[in-house]
Amino acid sequence: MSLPSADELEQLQEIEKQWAVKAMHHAETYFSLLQAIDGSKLKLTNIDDEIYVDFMSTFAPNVPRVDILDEDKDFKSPEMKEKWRNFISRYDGGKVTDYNFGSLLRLDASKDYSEDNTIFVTRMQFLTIEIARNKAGLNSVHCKRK
Amino acid sequence: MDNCYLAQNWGNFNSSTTQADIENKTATIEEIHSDESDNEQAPSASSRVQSRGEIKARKALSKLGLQKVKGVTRVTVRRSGAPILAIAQPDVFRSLNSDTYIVFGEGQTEDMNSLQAQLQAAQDVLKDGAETNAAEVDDSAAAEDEEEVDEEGVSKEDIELVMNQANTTRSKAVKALKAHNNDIVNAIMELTM
Repeated sequence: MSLPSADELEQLQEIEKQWAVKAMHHAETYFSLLQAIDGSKLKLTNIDDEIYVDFMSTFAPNVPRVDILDEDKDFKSPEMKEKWRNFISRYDGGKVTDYNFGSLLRLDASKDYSEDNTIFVTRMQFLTIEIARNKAGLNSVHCKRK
Repeated sequence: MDNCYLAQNWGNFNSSTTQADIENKTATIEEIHSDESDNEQAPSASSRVQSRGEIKARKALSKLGLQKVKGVTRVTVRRSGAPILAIAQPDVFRSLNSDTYIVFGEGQTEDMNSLQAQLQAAQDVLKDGAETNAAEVDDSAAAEDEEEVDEEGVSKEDIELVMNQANTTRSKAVKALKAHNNDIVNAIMELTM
């Protein structure tokens, strides 16, 4: 199935809705995974460790607090935007699938997806933050089966 | 049974009166009635005896500038756990400024079970035909399903996780994981879409 290129498409409401459905599905799938398995045992990509090390070194010494994120401070400030852009572009070219897809990320790792607790990020940012959370065991609270 | 139904699409609800409404007032229900009396070939709900309530409702709705939707032969209303309500030869009117439909006609309940039985029978016939044709293909596919798929590069825990979460077979889980470069979330998404 060939999709029309982005240039050919206007900002169609239908497509926006499709995106929302997909992003919601992604978020729900991920969260149900967290409930089924301890987050610290979960592997999101083939290169989780590489991403984690890169994340830590790129943002050092001001690594975002992944347990409770601040959208303005951690994502939207000019210098953070620059850092994120460089960081994300390193995973272009097939290393991480869908690295530039829009995804939903929880601000507070200890809470479920909700209107207040959810922000919009790229898939790469989602993966990076969630890998860091999983490594720190911050998602383990959601696991129902110990 | 009552014979006046209102159907509404809430997704696009907009009831304000607009200029278009006024301009299209020519297409009121009264006029459509006269159209229909000319066209005797198609028996429509408007040709049968109307109850007092229906006449009143039609009169009230005629002021809204509705447009007749032509060529509708049947409207079905499906409710969960209840028989299908079918209206044959209905009068369907559409509001111009919102996706709202008004349906007049006599409703008849249709037994879901008998419909489903028919559908099932039809499917069975199709399946039988397909099975005889594709018996060989089926055999090989089944064999493939049971046979150990090449799991190289995919971890056992991931496969089991995907199998449990997406409620699927091992081979499907492995294939999905491979297709998504071991991205568990994407693999489950593909299998649960």
